[in-house]
Amino acid sequence: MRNSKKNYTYPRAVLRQVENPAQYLGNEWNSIDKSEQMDHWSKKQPMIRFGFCFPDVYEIGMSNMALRILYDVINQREDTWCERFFSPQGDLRAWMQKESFPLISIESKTPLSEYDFVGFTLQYELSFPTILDMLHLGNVKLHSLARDETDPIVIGGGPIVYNPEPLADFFDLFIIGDGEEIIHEVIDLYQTWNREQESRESFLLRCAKIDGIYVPRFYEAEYYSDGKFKNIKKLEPEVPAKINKRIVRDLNKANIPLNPIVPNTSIVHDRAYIELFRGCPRGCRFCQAGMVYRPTREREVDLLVEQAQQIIAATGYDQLGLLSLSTGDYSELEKLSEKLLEFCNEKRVNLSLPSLRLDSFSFELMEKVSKTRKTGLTFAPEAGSQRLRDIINKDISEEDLLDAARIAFSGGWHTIKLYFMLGLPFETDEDVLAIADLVKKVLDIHREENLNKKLRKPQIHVSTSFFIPKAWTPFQWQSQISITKMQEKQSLLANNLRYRGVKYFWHEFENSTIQGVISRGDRKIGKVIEDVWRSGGWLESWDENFSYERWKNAMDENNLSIDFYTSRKRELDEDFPWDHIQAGVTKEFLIHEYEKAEKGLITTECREDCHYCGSMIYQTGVCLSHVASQAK
Amino acid sequence: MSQVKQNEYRYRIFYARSEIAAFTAHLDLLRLFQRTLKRADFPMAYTQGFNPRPIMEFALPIGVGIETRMEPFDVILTQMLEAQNIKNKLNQNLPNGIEIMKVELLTKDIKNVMSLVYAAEYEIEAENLGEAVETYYFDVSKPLIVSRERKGKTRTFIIREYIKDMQVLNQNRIKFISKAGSQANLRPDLFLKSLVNVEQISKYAALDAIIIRKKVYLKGD
Repeated sequence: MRNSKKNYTYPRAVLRQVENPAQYLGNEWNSIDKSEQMDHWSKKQPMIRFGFCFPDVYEIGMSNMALRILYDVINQREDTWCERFFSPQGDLRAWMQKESFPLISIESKTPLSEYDFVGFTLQYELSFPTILDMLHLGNVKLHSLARDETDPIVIGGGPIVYNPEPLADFFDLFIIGDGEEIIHEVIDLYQTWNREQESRESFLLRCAKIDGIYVPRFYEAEYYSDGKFKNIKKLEPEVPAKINKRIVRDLNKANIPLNPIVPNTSIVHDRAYIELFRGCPRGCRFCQAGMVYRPTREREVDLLVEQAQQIIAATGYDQLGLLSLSTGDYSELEKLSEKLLEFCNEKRVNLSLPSLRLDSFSFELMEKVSKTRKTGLTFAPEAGSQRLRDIINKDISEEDLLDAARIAFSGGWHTIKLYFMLGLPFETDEDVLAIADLVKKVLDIHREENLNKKLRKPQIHVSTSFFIPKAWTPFQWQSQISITKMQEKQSLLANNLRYRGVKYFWHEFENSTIQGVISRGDRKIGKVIEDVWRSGGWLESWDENFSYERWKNAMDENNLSIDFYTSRKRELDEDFPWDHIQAGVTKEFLIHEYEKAEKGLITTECREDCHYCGSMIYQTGVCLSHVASQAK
Repeated sequence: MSQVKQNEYRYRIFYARSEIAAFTAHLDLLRLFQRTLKRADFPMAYTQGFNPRPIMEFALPIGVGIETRMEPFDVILTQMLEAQNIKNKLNQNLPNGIEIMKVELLTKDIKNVMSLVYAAEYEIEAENLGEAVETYYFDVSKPLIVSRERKGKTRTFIIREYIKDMQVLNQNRIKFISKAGSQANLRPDLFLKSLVNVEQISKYAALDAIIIRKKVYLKGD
């Protein structure tokens, strides 16, 4: 517990020369200032300082729900002050580097190195070099093993923590699963740590015994001579061999920030949010979130409406968003939307709906929400052919989509966005061309409807991303296609999508390849991330900053092959670097799903049948509806 | 917009912002006040049209990095509230660094606040600025101009034509009244730039200056 008071200020001359200086200055409505309590606390016991870091710029990080939730959860503790850190943009960063000005918090402007805890949320692979950049700017040692009793405890967690191995060298501990409850246990334990009497190592060993905590330094990875992962060896007898995901069992009792921060400058998702549920009942086989957030757990309608009312009153936002992996699957969406609409109309709040199911109810709802403005509709069939949609277990039929297009066009919508993936397992050229066929059919629907009444010209936006196999999904054994193949598939589709009114957008090839390297990477990739950062890599998820050369060189210098991590097809009996992180679904279930995919067999959604994924051990949410039947 | 309809009450609100809030851009500030008014739950009048917005009119845009002391904007409410109440409730709902100084209910000669602006008073502190004004600005034989490029056109400002009532407060501090509004407007950073151009103050001093808009002059005040 350090509690030093080193506050910095940005000179006016610097603020006048950087873009959007308000992003660095805080003082937003609902931001938490405990500087007064800190003086009070320090007499009895110093305030614990928690630096919550988002490895991207303010406008991105402030839009993130994990940050909002944990900021709220941690600040509810009297003994801890959680403050925010974001990556500076290039202009300010250049000045900071030149002047050796440290990375400081938004709230008290204290350098990162002065904190007890430094917590990073892991949202996307390409943000990893930015983590190192922020640690370095904040004068925190990069490597866990180099830190001593005077350094902060560096914590990682978030949606992509289920393969933490590429970051193993840099983090002291990882939180596997929902963080709301574990974080309290970690801070409580920290309160018992006397730095003068107990080593950092010993404290971390105590942390490793908390359910859901992974302390990578107590494990060593072993590899075969061909580079494949062999196994992970415990270095301390007391640490668990497998680390289980922790979840919040009852979302109705879980914290949701009722007083979220209202930024003083515009951010990407600038609105109030309520979280309808965690998990997704669908089970699309490519989707990591759909696997690792199981089981599906909902919040009750009345609670959600109450939370929405409180958040709007506390923020003054005029837009309300609904958050979940698949909002159309909320079991009481009709009741919820009715109640929300009533309140939103009264308070002049716009309800913004995410993409919904393709049924008539959704359209009635959208009709009510956007009485006057009909902005674009978004559908994600993910694959062009029924064959491939069955393989990936995406439950949308061509009929559904075309019906939806018909209702949309005749109802006055004219912009439709369609999302697809290229490079999916078992994909053939016919599957790629089927995307073009489907788009053509949507256009035909418009032409038919146009005969009945005069419609606005259609605008179809087709977007494709490249499939990236992710840990803890049924496709974790699959090969990711090479850059050459990506180019071929993309141009095959582009050449067949030349219709008036159709615009085609696609993701970068190289960027997807590097994401693939990291997402199934092992500890050896840590050195690559570090080398990329040392050679100037930072904010790599921004196209203007990304450099494939840099990653390629770093892989070469470490004698690692990109293909080994991406296009290599794994055998079903291969052990993976992330096998000891238990994401809640069993490997048996994933293998079974993989085999069903090969045969083109679909798996019904969780609410219809239990498929024994392994989440039953959590005894909550959608699983509970199957408990009785399984007991028989 | 100039005519008050029945059940519409126009209030003129004056706010101050200190250095910690001075770097919020004008449009962001507008949104900040919109949200503050919504939190305060006032009966706002809304614009007509597809996308109704609460009616809010600022007298004069404010540049990034400029503090204010008594900056007017108008809102229209559909019910009459006590001015003091509005002030208190807004202050309870404003983030640090911004404060409401005064609220008045307008009753006669109601015009769009923007159209009333004709001048603004600034106080500026920058290294050697007082000295520079003393020796250079007050010597009218010395030229003081600055040009500004915008949308491909270059405009030249003859600084002294825009300024009256220049006072030197000490070696580093000055205050003056400049023309402001839609007819003729001089931004304080342009004034500083004119002195940088003739090497009377350093570029860094201009960038690091404390600039405060103390008052906006409205016709009829």
